[in-house]
Amino acid sequence: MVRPGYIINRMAVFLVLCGVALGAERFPPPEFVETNHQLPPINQITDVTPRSDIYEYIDVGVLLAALGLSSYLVLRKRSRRAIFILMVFSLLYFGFWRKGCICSIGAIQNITLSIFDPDYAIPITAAAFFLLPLVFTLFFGRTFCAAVCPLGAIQDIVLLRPVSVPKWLENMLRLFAYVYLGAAVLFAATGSAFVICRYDPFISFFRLSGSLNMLILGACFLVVGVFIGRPYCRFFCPYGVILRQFSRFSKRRVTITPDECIQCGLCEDSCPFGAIREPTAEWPVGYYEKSKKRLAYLIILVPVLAFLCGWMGFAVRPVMSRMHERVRLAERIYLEDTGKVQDVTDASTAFRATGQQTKELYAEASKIRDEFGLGGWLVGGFIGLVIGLKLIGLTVRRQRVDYEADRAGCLACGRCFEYCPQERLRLKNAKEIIGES
Amino acid sequence: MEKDTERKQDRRELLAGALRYVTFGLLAAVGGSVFVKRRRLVREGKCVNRGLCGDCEIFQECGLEQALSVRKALAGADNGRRQ
Repeated sequence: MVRPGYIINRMAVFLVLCGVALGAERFPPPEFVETNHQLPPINQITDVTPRSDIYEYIDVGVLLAALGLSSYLVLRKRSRRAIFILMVFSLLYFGFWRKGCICSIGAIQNITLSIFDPDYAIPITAAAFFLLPLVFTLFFGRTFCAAVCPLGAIQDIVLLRPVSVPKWLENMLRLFAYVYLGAAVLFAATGSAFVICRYDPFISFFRLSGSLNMLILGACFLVVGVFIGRPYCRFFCPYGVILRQFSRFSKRRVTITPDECIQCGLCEDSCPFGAIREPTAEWPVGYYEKSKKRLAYLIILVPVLAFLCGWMGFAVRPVMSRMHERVRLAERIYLEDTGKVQDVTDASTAFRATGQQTKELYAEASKIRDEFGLGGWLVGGFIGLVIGLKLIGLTVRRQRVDYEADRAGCLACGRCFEYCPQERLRLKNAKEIIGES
Repeated sequence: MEKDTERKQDRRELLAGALRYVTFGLLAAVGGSVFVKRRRLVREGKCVNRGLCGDCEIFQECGLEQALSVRKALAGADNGRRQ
């Protein structure tokens, strides 16, 4: 039973953080209207303080140590309390101390840009933050999500009154993460924007500053997170999409019980993420034949869905390409030149001052639009494929005799360990053995 | 029946293992290629940090225009403070 005072206390902490963060907006830099004084540019330069190499390597070292420790705590120690402590440390270090940057989720964009832009060199830290959790997931499951990711940690801490999400709704909401991943890769590949960083809902809390919109978004996620376990991780995290697929064939995985499952079902009730699968009943008569037919229809449907979604991705290219500043500028210049707008913007004035031909700008914008067209086909096709495969996944029934953690969906939080009677028995026996010796 | 289930499970494990090591190889290839690319760009004398000297690991040794300019400005700011 969680006391109301406890909830109010937690909420108060976040409201205080909001207050601090809003300070940046409440006190903007002063404007010297009467004297027309401009703030000297030297102020911006002196803010540039190079970060020593050693700190970068320390960050990678801390990440590596945290991943190793998390894997040990989840798979060997099986201690929820220890996982929670490590989670708090990760939140403080990677979240509040490192100010949430660089994070593994945002590093997707650095990797993408590094692949598509011949002149972009990815920082070593970004590459390490992207690759290391993936390697650990391949061998130990989602232990990064369990206790290392600061975004997961901040949501896990506020989860006080978990309610279960219906399976159909969960399956549908999860599609957002695929769309988000596709869009993030497309925008990064075209050099338009790093949308994951721009719309990171928790960065304002970590930096204690940020725009009001992002603060409200972050607060909404945290309020929803009080009832629904880790909503960002489950329904929006683009890195989670990759981790889900990798953990499907991880070498080791979370096992709910250390011994034989007694099928009490307590673990299923304890999981706030709906990641525990119950034992399946015997297949009804005729089910196998029916499902075979359904599967055949769906296999035919997959390429159709991929094509339709790909076409939709292609169709929205004019809207998506506006995320690129050159396309926006070209459209603005066109409107000004044709007299459709009378005023000018800073960007258009700056462009005209360079003396560059508008034709060159239009050609550049057209090339970017074409890139978005191809990217739209690919991203749309990918989303269509995901929808199709998801439908196939729902049709194919795998038989289970015991309660099992879903390999893809399990965030390795360790809550189920605490509830399992067999685990309690094991711990009691272990204590007795230690006491005897 | 039990043998059949075991065989299925073995096949699944084998497939998962193969996928795991193929993916691991791919990740290693991605990691290696971005590292090689970074070294090549540094050798070619290109800015590896898009002119954002603040977070650049090789800022102190960098001989590019942008870095020289920032270093000069920082030195100027220090002199200003001393006066």
